[in-house]
Amino acid sequence: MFFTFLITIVAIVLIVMKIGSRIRTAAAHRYEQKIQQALSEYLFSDVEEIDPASDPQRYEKVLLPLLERLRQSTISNVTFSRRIRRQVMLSVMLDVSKNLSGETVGRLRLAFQRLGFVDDEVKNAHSAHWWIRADACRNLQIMYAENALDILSTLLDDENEDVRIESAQSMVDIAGVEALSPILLTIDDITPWMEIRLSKSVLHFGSSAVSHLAKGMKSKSNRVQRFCVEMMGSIGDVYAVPIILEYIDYEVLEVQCESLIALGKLGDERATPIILRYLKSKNEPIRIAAAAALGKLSSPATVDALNGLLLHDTLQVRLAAAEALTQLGGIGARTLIYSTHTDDPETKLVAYQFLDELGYCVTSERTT
Amino acid sequence: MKLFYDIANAGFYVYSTFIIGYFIFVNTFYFTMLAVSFSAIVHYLRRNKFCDYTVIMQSELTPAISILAPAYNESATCVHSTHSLLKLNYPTAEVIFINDGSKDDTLEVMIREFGLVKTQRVYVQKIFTQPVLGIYISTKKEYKNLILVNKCNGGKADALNVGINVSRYPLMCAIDADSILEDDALLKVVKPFLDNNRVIAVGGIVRIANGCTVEHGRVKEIRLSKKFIPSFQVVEYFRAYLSGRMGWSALNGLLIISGAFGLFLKEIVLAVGGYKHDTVGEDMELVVRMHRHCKENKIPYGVEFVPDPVCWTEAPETLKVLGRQRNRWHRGLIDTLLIHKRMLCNPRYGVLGTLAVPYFFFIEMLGPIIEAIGYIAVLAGFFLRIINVQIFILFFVVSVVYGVMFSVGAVLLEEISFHRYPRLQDLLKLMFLGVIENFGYRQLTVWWRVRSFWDYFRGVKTWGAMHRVGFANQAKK
Repeated sequence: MFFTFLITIVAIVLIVMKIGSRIRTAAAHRYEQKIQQALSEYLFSDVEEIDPASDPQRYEKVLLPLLERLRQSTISNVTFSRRIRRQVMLSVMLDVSKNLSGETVGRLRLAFQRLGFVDDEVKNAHSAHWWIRADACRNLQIMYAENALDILSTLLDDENEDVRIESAQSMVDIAGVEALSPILLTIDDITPWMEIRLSKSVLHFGSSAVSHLAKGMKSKSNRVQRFCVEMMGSIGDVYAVPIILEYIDYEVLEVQCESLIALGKLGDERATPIILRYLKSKNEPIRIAAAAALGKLSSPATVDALNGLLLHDTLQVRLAAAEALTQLGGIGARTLIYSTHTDDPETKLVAYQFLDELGYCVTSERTT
Repeated sequence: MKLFYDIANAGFYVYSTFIIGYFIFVNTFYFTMLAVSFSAIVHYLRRNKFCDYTVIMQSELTPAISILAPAYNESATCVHSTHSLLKLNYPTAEVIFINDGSKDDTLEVMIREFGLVKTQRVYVQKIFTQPVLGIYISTKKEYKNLILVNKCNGGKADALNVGINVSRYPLMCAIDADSILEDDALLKVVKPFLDNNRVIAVGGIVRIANGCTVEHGRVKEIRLSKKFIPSFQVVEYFRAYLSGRMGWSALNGLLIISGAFGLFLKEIVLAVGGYKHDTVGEDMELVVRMHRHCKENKIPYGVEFVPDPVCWTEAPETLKVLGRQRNRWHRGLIDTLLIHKRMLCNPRYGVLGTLAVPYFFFIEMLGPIIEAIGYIAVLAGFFLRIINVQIFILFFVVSVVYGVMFSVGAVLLEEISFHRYPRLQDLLKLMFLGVIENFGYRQLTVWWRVRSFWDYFRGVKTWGAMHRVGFANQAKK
């Protein structure tokens, strides 16, 4: 009896919850549609053509009546409280912002400012809850709130990782490449997730980011330094070569290895003799990085050097050298084929492995 | 005679009081873990809001993963599972399928399906293993990330060690060859490694695919099985993963990462010598050894559980196979805890030594014995009229009603957080199962676990045959 009662109660509660949730969702959906309609009227109504950049005051003046209509049309709903209504409106506006371009973006940003959403988010950026602060950072970026850059920069030191990332991302999106060096110099450390997020923007900025990444090399964090070198390599601008060369003998092994790999990625032949020098390093990771870098720099000297490693170095370096040879095209492949005729079984095996990966000589007869 | 009766009476009374106290303590602990898990899940869901997995997917900086799929006599499921692994959303991953000396036609099926040919490849025994008979790669471009290793039989741990030796990437994902990962599972399970440079291992949730529709290596429709045995296991998995592991992860005391789906930092796995091959609980043993290695060498580290990336597995459908599985799991638990008994109540190991290992030792490992004796003692005492009705009812309430509430709580946690069973009748069925599993099914699992002690101390190290229907056949059923 007891269990029947218990399960009936739980089932009834669940059903009531589900029905309640469906009713609320339907009402919210209707309200959302109403806001979407009002917002479309505001965004797409014909007004006098004015360049917002040249005469912002007149532009605002023209749009104000439309904005007032938007405000009025959304406050008539009595089903929800003012707070909920503003939340729904904000969510609709944020959603719409993803699909806008051209002049309508400016209208939407004006609406965010004039309807007080920017001020709300600036307040939220001071919240005691990290998820509200992180959300505020993200929303301020969508709102393109240039006046919020100060608060965003203070959040770069936030105790929460997500808040730090969101604030950095928003700063980059609002202020552009100029925000990059302050961010790199302010953050104490960088996690792989932050690297992934920032790299997207950095690669988008391209060559214009190189000077800021160079400034970022002054960071106290070795991880930030390594990130800057890696990004300079990925951007592929040869102006970064002298900057990277400064760090090629850096005391931190990670930065040193990344510098060698970045030089290889940049593909500047001036770097070849310098990288070749590092093939003789006593440090195995440096020899591996140098071999990997040479895979991007095709020259007779490179092939000879990689062949030398393939014949006489440790297994890990041999593997790196063979992989680099595969990246050099026909000349590298020929060197690998030649290596299969040597007497050294390890060299042979490494050469066979990479030739197989290139699809040169896969046979079912050969035994391991 | 009267003296004997008095002693028996006192004995029954003391034991029944102890057992009631034990149940109250254990169930209160479970509820505390449920609360901790709830808070951790809320935190996870909040964090998830700020993660765009497409960014991980598109980035060149995302660390590459080697997926290790050991297989023994898996010809029924290996093709589906491998296709599913090759289709996973992840920028750089290699799939290493290890055929552990299967006696069926697993190797032939794989060679035929994926156009594999034997190749030469450098094989360095960083961890000692049974001999490798051949390494195969595909001649087809679309399968260029697949490597098959054929080796002499040496058990799952040995097969995984071969996979580690062959793997090229810094992260290794150990999965069961008969499991199916969801498309974005790797993107989700790698996130803790991206958030924190100190994370050394991450476990994902394992869910039961029986009853679901599986097409082309993907779970298309999620439904409960019509059979009771797999459905009971769904509730059990909710309790174990959403409540247990999530809670322990929040306390940095997670001792188990399921062998069906876990992602590890290869550097640390190599440092501890890989999987131990003479235990049947190699997954738990590895995690405990990694914890121990980091603690003893004062390496800051984290072991985490993420409740979202899903690995679907086929659960046993008969009591016989389920009994074998539970027996093996419990032998693995006993073995691991006895190997690492030094950690028990040892404050040097922090939360692990003071909370996690004692919990697993006294509640998870010894619990079935205490519970079994409790059932017998209380029932015998009641029918012999040694203990009174009030104590009997109290025992019933603390052992069964608490159990019902905990199971229903775990189902509700799933419903509130991830809501993977969309049909209302499935939800109601799960609730119902959460209640009735306490009458018979739970006692059966207690019995299997008690029997495992006998097998363990007899030195039984076998896995026992696990009959698989296969995902393709699941759908037809």
